[in-house]
Amino acid sequence: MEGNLRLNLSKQAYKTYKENCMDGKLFVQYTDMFFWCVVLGYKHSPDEIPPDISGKEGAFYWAVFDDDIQKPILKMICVKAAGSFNILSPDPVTKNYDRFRDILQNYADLGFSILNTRLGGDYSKGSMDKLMDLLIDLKDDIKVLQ
Amino acid sequence: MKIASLSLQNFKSYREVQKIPFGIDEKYITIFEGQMGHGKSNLLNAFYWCLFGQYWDSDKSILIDDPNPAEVSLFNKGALQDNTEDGTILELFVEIEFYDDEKSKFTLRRTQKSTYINKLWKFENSSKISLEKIDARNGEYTKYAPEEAIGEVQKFFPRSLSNYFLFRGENRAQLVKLQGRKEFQLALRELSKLEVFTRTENHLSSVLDDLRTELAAQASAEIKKQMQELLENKKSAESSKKEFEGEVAKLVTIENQKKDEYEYYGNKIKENQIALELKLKMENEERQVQDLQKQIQSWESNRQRELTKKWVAMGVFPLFSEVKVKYQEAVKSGHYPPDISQTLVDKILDDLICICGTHLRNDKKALEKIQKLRELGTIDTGLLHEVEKLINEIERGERLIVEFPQQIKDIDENKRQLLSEVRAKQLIINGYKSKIGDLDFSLEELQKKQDEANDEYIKTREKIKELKDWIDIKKKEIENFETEFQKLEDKLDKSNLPAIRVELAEKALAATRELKKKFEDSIYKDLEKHTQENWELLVYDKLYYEKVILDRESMYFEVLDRNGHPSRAIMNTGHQILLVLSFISALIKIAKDVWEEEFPLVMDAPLSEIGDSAIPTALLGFGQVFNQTIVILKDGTVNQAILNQIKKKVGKRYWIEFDKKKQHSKIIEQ
Repeated sequence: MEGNLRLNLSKQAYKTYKENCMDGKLFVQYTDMFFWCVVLGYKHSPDEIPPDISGKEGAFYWAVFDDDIQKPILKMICVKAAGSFNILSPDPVTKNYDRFRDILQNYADLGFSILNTRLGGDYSKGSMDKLMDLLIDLKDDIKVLQ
Repeated sequence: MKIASLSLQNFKSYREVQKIPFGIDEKYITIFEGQMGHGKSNLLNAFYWCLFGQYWDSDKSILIDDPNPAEVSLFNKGALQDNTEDGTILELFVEIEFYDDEKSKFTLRRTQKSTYINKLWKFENSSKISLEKIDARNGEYTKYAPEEAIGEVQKFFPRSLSNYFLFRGENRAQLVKLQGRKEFQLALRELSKLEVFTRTENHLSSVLDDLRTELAAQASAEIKKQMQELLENKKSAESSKKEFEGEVAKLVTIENQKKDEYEYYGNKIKENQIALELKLKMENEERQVQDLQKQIQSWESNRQRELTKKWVAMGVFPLFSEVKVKYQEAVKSGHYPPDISQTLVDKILDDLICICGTHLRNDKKALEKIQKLRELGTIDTGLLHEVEKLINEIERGERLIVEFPQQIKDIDENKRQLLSEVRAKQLIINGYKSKIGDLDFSLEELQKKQDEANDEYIKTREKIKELKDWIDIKKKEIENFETEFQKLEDKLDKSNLPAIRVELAEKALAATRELKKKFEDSIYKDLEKHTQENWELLVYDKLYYEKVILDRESMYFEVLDRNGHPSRAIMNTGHQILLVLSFISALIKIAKDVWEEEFPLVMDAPLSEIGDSAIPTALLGFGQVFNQTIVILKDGTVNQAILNQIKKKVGKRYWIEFDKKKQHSKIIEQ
C-alpha cells in the first residue's frame, strides 16, 4: 500500500490547506488536517460514503501519514465504509488503490466543510480550543450543517 | 509634648479620610508596617508637610521647603485622575493633634487646594495652616492667625530638630550622611544656645574697642598715637582673621563636599564591582531562562502536534473494536485466515483416496492438478499481509490512544515544572536587577572622578591648614595687642571714668569668655555622656565598641574600641544606625533641658538592618529618651518574638496596605 498512493484535495479545500498548513499554525502538515477531516467526515456520515470530489488538486503521499495512529485509523475507516477488508487490496485490473483513495478523499472533503465552518476559517494556534470542542460537540455540529 | 493622632486625605497615596491615633504614655510605641511602595515613607512626609511645610524628596535626597504640587506630586494621583469635571475643587489636608506638657490640646491643620480648569489641574501656590488650642487649665479655646500659628508650632517642633525627631532612613548611606556632621553641628549650635555666648562676646569686644578709642583720645599725644596705631593694627588683624575664617568656612564646605564625593565614588566603584558580578550571575540566569523557554516552546509545539495529529482518533475509538470483531468473524468463518483453509486442503489431500483405492499423493499428475487448483483458490497474499498488518496496528494504536491522555498530561506537567523554574529564575533575576540598579558610569570613569575628588580634597585641606596658620598668627597679633595696650593703659591715670569703663568692659569680656568656655564644656560633656548612655541603652550587642567620645575640634563623634582605637569608620551598618540614633537621642535630651519640652520620635528607618535581637532593646531604649516613639517599618520587621518582648509598651500597631485600583493606602489596625 505504501507505494505511490497519492491523495488529492478539492480545489476549494486545497486553497485553505495551502494557506494554513505550516509552522506556527494549528496544523503543521497537510496530512494532519486531512486526517482530522476524514475522521470528521466519517463521524458525520458513517453509513454513506460522500460523493466524489471535483477538481482534484494538491496531491500528497500516503507515506507521510503517521504510522502509529493515522494510517491504521484511515484504513479502518475505509474497511468500515467499504464493508470489507478487500478495500486494502489494489484493484485487480489497474493494480491501484483507487477505491481506497476515493473513500478517504470524499470523507476528507465532507470533513473539511465541517471543520471550516466550525473554525470560521481561523486556523491559527488560538483555535486549538475550538478544535477540541469540535470533537466533543461533533453531533451538534452536524445538526448545524444539516 | 505628645502627638495624639494624624488625620489626612488626598495626601500622596492616602486618598480617603483616615484618622490614626498613636500610642501614648505607658504604651508609647506605635508601629506601622507595610510592604515596599505601599505608602510608608509618605506617612513620614505627612508629618514633614503638616509641621514644617516641607517635603522630603527621596529620589533627589533633598528636603524641599513649601513644595509646589505642580512639581512635587503631593495630591493623590487617583483623586486627580478620577475628578476631571471642569470646576472640580480638590483639597488635601494633613492634621496633627498634639498635647503640650500641661495637657492642653492643639490641632494643627495644613491644607492645599487644586481646581480642574480647561483640562488641567491648577494648584494653589502655597499651603495654608491653622492652629487651634484648648487650654487644659481653663478650657479656653484659642484660634491662632496663620503667622502666629507658625511661631507657636516652632515652639513645640523646632525646625532645626526636624531631622532628629522626624528620622528618615530609607537608605542606609543617606541615613548616616543626612543625620551627619553638618546638620548635627548646626542643630547643636542652635539647640544648646551656644550662639548666645558668641554673640555676647562679639558685642562686648566691640564695646571695649569703642571705650579704648575714647580712652586713647584723652591720653598724651605720644601714648595716644601708640594706642591708635595698636587699635588700627588690632582692627586690621581682626578683619584679616575674620576674612580667613570666612575663607576657611567656605573651604571646609568644599573639603566636606570633596570628601563626600570621594566616598560617593568609592561606594559607586564598590557598588559597580558588586553590580558587575551580579550582572554576570544575572546573565547566566537569563541564559538558563532562555534555554528553559526554548524547552517550553518545544513542549508546547510537541503538545500541539500530538493534539492535532492524534487527538481526533479518540472520536473514532469504537472503530478499533468494530474492525477487530469483523476480523474475528472472518477467522471463525473458516475461510480466513488462508493458512486455515490451506491446512484443510492439505488434510483433505492427505486423506483423499480414489475410489480405485489409490492414494492421490502417489498419483503425480492428479496431485499437480489439485495443487494448481489450491493455488487458485487461496486468498490474495498481499491482502492477507495488509489485513494482518492492520490488525497488529490496531492492537498497538488502541494501546497508544488509551495512553494518550496521560501523555498529554505528562507534557503539561513537564511544561508546568519548566514554567515554575522560569518563574523562580525570573524572581532571582528581578532581585539581581533591583540590586544592580542603574550602572551609569564605567569603572574607569568612576576611578577618575574619585581621584579628582581626592586631589581636590587634599588641595583644599592644605589650603585650610595654611589659612588656619594665618588665623593663628592673627590671633597672636591680637593677643600681643592686648598686652601692648595694657602696658600703655598702665602708664595712664586709672582713676578717670574712661579708664574705669575700659577696665570694667575688659573684666566683663573675660568673664563672658570664661562662662562661654564653661557652658561649652558642660554641653559637650553632657552630649558625650548622653550619647554614651544611649549607646549603652540602644545597643544590644556592643561587641568591642567601648567608648563614645566627642571630638571638640570637628564637633563630631568617634567610637573607640577596647584598645582605644577609633572604629566608627569600620562599624557595620546596624551599629552605625544605632550610633546615629544615640547622637540624636543625646541631642534631644539636651534640647529637652534647654527648651523645657519633651519630644516624640517619628522614625522611618531600616531597623531590620540592626538585627532581630537588637530591635527590642532599641525600641524600649527610645522610651527612655523620647516620650513617644512612632516607627514606620518594613513588612515583617516586628516578628512575634520581638512583639512578645515589647508588647507591654506597644499602644497601636498598624498595617499599611495599598489598594491599586483606588490608588489608596489604607491603614488597618492590627
